[in-house]
Amino acid sequence: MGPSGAASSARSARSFRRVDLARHPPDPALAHVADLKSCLADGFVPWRREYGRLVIACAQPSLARHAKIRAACREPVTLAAAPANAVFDAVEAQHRARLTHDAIYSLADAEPELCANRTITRAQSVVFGILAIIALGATVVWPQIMLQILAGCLAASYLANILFRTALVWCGAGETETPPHLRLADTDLPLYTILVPLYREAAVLPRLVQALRALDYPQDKLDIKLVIEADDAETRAALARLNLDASFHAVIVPPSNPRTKPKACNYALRFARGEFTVIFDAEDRPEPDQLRKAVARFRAEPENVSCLQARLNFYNRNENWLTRLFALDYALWFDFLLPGLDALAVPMPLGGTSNHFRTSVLHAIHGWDSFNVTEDADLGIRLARLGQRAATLDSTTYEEATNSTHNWLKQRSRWIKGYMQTWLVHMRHPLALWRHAGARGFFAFQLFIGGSILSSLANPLMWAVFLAFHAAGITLFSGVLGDVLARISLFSLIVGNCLFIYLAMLGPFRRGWLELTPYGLTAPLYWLLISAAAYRAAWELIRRPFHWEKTSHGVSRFEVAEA
Amino acid sequence: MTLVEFPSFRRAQGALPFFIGMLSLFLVVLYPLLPDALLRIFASLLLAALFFQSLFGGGYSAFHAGAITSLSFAQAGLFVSTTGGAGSIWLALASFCIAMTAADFVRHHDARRVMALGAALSFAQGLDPLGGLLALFLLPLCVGLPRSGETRDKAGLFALLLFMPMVTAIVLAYTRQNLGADLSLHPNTSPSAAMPLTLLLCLCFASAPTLWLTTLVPRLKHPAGLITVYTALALLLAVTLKVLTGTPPDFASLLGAGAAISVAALCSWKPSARNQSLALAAVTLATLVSWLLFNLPFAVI
Repeated sequence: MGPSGAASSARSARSFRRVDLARHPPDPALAHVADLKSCLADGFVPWRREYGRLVIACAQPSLARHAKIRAACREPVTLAAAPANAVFDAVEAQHRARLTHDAIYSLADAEPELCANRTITRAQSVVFGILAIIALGATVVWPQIMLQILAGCLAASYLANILFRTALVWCGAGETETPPHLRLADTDLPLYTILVPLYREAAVLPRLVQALRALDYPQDKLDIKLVIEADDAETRAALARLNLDASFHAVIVPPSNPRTKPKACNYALRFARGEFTVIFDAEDRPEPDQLRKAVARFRAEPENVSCLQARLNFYNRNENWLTRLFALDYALWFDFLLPGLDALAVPMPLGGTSNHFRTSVLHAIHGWDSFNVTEDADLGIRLARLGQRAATLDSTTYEEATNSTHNWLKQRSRWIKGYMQTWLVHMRHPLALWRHAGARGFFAFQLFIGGSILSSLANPLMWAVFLAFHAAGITLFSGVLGDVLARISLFSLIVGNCLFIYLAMLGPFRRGWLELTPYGLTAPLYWLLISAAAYRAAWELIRRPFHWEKTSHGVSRFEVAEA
Repeated sequence: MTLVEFPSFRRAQGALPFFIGMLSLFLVVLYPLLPDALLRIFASLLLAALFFQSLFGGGYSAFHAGAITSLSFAQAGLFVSTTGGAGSIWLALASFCIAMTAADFVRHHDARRVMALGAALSFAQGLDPLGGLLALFLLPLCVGLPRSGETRDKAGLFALLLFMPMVTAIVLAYTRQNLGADLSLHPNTSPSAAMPLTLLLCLCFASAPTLWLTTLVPRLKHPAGLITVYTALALLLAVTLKVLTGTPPDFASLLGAGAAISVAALCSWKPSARNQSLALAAVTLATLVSWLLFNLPFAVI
């Protein structure tokens, strides 16, 4: 809408009667007069019946909207003006049960085969069971041959994994993203929805609001949804104390299982009014021009680029050894690996925050999978399967790195559990995945998602076997595996691990954080932690697959200014 | 234009690490079985392709690039190394790769060039006995050339560049001592063959004091050309050290490496029409001189 359109809309809204929905809530009996989709699309709620005529409270009443609302209600209506947030709160109150169901089951109802509400299907159980029986039987009958096959498979997958990552880093390092530097006029900027799921984040809320206010984007074109669980009294109270303006809207998510971030995001997504939607976490500090960059990039890219992943890193990276290694990990991931996936145009598992979407596409693919604990990674794969593309955005969001081992383990095991869920979901029908993502996408998925899981689980085992054989004498190693296989295995293990260390050291190069580079030499210790998290994740996947382990924020003594 | 900027190469770039990885694995497993002549032909063709591509990509016409490449191979060192008469083609390949990637890194200073330089430095370890020494001498210059940055940043860059050649040296020494398998192309003359692992490590760390050289660097104006000259000096120093430790000099290899470095130097020269003709004349002269130099020791003896 241009400036003249906005002005005429405001004039038009002023000419309508205003209603206070907080003091005079809508009549619950009118909830079914219009369907939920129309209410949300046109921003209205059936309010009262006065003298036999239906009165509608509408966020932006106009003559054009009057016709649409009348058609949706199938009877003559009178429009009244009300604040947008109040209208959406009223719609939410009227349709809470339906919204809750949709937030949880929208994907499961529409695409049951792509939803992680079942961890493993019957067919997968049968295939894995048969493979396990064959492997066990063969191990009893031909132990040495089986050991050689196992070693060969592990070495081959290990080698393929490291080579693929090196390829990604090489391609990602060559990606010279040149975003359109055209600064769009404020009037040309669209409404932008920001979803911020919050759970027990009272401590970081003031800093979050400060970071969102610091965004270089017209405040009246921001539709900020602070998504809060209904039973999180502490955060709700903290929010009430902040006295926020109309661009902030608190969406209260009623209690229901699974209690996951994607479910909360799905719930709030129904109220998103922006052309584009971005997810931020409570502790995020996005660079102020990130939304402008995203709009310019979306405008420059073809329509099928429906998601932009901004880069993430940490403002408290220099807090301790763990945060330094975490920063190296993130630098490699977001500055090289994801741009590499982008360059190769293969499925990209999105990072947990700062994902910018075309809102219409997000609605069309039924939002996030509420049962997947890395819903963002899963969403990236689903986008690719639908012919959509995710690209990287050259703008950084600074987060708070978990600075204690316990907290880090919880977070990392949730991520790996989510990767396991994602791999299992998309491998329910491997041929369909091949058809949708193409051969390159299929192998990239196996190496990037499957390879991450496998290397986390196998790395300590391989080193233990290597050291045991080494202690027993290398002749035995060659004797058991055969000379050629022993060479291949050793090459994969030693060269592969050295390359992984090297890539970790290379990670901070793009940002010029070379003071972190020497810490890359200690990456093997960090991998031990990752392996511990992987085994914990496997156990959690069996015990409670949808459980969301909350990461504590606001515990760092570092401030964003130090980033 | 560098190799990585070629359109066809850019399209296939995702497959490059796989190609290199498979080639490395192939060499690790099958190298002992491959005949020496086959490896020499492979190395010669690779070096010729690199010469031509670097010159052509650097702005030389196809005629000049082809002529300089041919004349370089007509020089004594490369000629006898290629035909198997004496010496080794590998030192030339190692020197050229290091000089080109180092110059490229100094010009662009991005992550891809870091990887390429690291790979070249470690590749040199396995290619020729002097490769490791070359790496040690050249590293400080590469670290020092970026003009800005604090000392701790330079330490990070140094660690980043040193890591790959160091690990290669350790892996080569480890496989030789513990697996009885020598993965380098010159098992008998490699300095690491006679050295225990600990000594090799000490040698790597001992290179750190040479960082003082970096204090000179900010005053230099043409880093790419300088790197090639420096590579030649480093090569001479490495050869001197080798002679001092009792190994007889290998003039053919040394002359071959010199030819390769001179091509690297020409690549960093602005190739105007006049300069291209001058370059051709210089390489022609160098070819004649190289044969004189090659025969000089025999004449003296």
